[in-house]
Amino acid sequence: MKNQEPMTFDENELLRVFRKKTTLGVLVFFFVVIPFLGWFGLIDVTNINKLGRYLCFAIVALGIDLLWGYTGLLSLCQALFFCLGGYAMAMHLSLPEGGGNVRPEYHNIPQFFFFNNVDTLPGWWTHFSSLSFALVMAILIPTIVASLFGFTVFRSRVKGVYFSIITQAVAWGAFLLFCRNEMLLGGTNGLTNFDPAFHRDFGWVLFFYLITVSTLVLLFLGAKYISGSRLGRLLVAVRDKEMLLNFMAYRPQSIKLFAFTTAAIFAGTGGVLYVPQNGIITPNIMRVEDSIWMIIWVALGGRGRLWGAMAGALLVNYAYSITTSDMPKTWPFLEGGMFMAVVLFFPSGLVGLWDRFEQNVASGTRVSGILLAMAVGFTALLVDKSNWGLYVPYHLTALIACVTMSFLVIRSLNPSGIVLATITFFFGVEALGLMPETMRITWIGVPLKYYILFIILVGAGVLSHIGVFRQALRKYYEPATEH
Amino acid sequence: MSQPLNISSIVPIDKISSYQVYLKDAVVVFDGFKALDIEEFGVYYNELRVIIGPNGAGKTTLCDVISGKTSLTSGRVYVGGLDIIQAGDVEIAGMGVGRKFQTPTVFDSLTVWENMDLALPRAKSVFPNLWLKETNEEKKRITAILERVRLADEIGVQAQYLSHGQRQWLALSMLILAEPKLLLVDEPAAGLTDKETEITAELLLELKGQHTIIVIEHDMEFVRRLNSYVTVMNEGKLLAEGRLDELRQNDEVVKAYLGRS
Repeated sequence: MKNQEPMTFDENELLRVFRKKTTLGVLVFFFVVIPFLGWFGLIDVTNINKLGRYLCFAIVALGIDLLWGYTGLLSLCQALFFCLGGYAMAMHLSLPEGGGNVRPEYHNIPQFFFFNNVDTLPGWWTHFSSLSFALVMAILIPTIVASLFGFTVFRSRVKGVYFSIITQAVAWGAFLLFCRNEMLLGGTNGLTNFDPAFHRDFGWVLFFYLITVSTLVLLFLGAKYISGSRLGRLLVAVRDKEMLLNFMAYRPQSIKLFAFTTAAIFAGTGGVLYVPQNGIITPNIMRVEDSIWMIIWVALGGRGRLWGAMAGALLVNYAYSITTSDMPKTWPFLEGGMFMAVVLFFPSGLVGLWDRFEQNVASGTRVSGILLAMAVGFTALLVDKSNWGLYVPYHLTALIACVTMSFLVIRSLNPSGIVLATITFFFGVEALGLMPETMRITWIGVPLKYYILFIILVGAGVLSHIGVFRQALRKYYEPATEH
Repeated sequence: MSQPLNISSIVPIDKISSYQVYLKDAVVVFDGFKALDIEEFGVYYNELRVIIGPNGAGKTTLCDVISGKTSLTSGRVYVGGLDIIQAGDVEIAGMGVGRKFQTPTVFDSLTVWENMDLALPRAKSVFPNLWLKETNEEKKRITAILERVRLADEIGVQAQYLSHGQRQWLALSMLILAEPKLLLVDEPAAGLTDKETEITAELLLELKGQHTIIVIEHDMEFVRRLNSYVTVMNEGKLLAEGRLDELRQNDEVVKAYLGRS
């Protein structure tokens, strides 16, 4: 229905080109720039590994967006499906055929069996020595669990918050079950002792990274196809007015079951790819809290838009990674704060911010600078500073990057641009190691730089609400369309 | 639900087969309150029937019973000759009973076109909808209906941004597009301007003769324009049936309903 959007042709054309370029840029960044920088040793293996793991979360977020954003079902057991996929893969990886580290003194089977007084590999474990069997199971088990659970729940017309509570109970029950040693899945210690090369050797890390990115792209295309089809409209229809669908002879239960199962498959796929890159899986990852975090990724990214969910997963996890190294104990507060800020100020999440940004694009403002700054900032996050010096004068490059970024931020003076650029600039400066020492002075455990970041963001938010920015914009900056 | 064996609830077969909708001894009780208490009610195939009555007369409850939203406390309902006591709302909708609700009910975040697209009579199960697209003929039909209700320029607009009248029309267009055998139209003219009411009446009159239509309406001007057989309800019971002119002469009806306005 693209040609029927109530937009003039000109704006549409500008936006279309812009979106095309952005998509291409993002693809090049993930498929070409990162592997090559890694190849030259500019990005550390651990950073590529971390990005790979976060991209697995983005796959889960895609599914959650279909389920929550489109269909309006808030499931609090997605982490369980993630783990079901993960455990199936982990079983294969902990066996010798999958590169598992087994020792003769433990009967050549995964070590935890020894501590559970099991001498021989249980029959159902032996099948997992085949990779293809493990992969099929990794997808089949979440599918079966989700469809059985979904079938019973949706059939009895459980709705809204009651659905969320039931899923929460399932997640909790499954957690308790997996913690039992009798399950022969490693109990609370989970499954580990995989081949350490998977998350240490550059070759393997890059392999898993590329597999993850490709899977993400494929599943994104799949999810996009679903959301663009009539079925996608039916998903939204369930969210809007389920009752009306009954009277149009559709079966909302089946539609919800489809969404729930699809989301579970996405989560399972994410789990499969996550396990080898993480090196361990424990029942701790399937707790209700983890499922709620997954919901927060999607809420922050913006529900109802697929790329928003993916961006949200990356953003929150990187924020987690950075802030926990600076101030480990404040993360729960920060995450809660982010969630509240989204609910109060940006109900549509990152997507809403981006939409306002795109409005500028549609009206002819040139924004390539901000995007470039964001790309530089994101790369700076990943770059390994010690190796950077081998190829280019590190400090000079960092200085040029920062000056360019600040210049571009000022040039594209508008609230959404300011917010996007501030975050990027902040993390960029941090990652490039240019943060002045004074910024690290802490007050109640929080470094000064975070106060400054907070003030800028709140300031931008407030100003955009008052409209001062708009007036300032009119005075100092004439949009291209007015010429 | 157990049906008490009652001689009067055994319905002669010829009555069931000659009516599109037939209710016998239909009673609905909400918390001890008799919302509906009908001895016998029937609408013939391809008839346009108007139901009027004051607020709380049980008109919407009657629609709810026929469309399966509410189940009878006791009695029988037949749609197209079939007993629908055991059927759910989805099955009844699948039998070709379409419904427009009192408040214009559409999918708010979908566009006008997408709303219409979902209303098309076609595969209703999950997977075919993954790949099915509307055919050219279906597109033409949608466009034709939307042009009639002056929504053709709004196809890309989300339904939540439509005016009340436009939403009424969208809901009605979706119903017409679905080509049900039986249309239950609950207050199609509520909140419409005179000109809009006129077009709505024309639309319904065009459908007359091809579909069975039950219209619930308050607006007497609109009812007069439809010029059909009218059933008056009051306090859950059928009060009278006849042409509007005859009913105007009926003291009981005037007392219960017309006299007030």
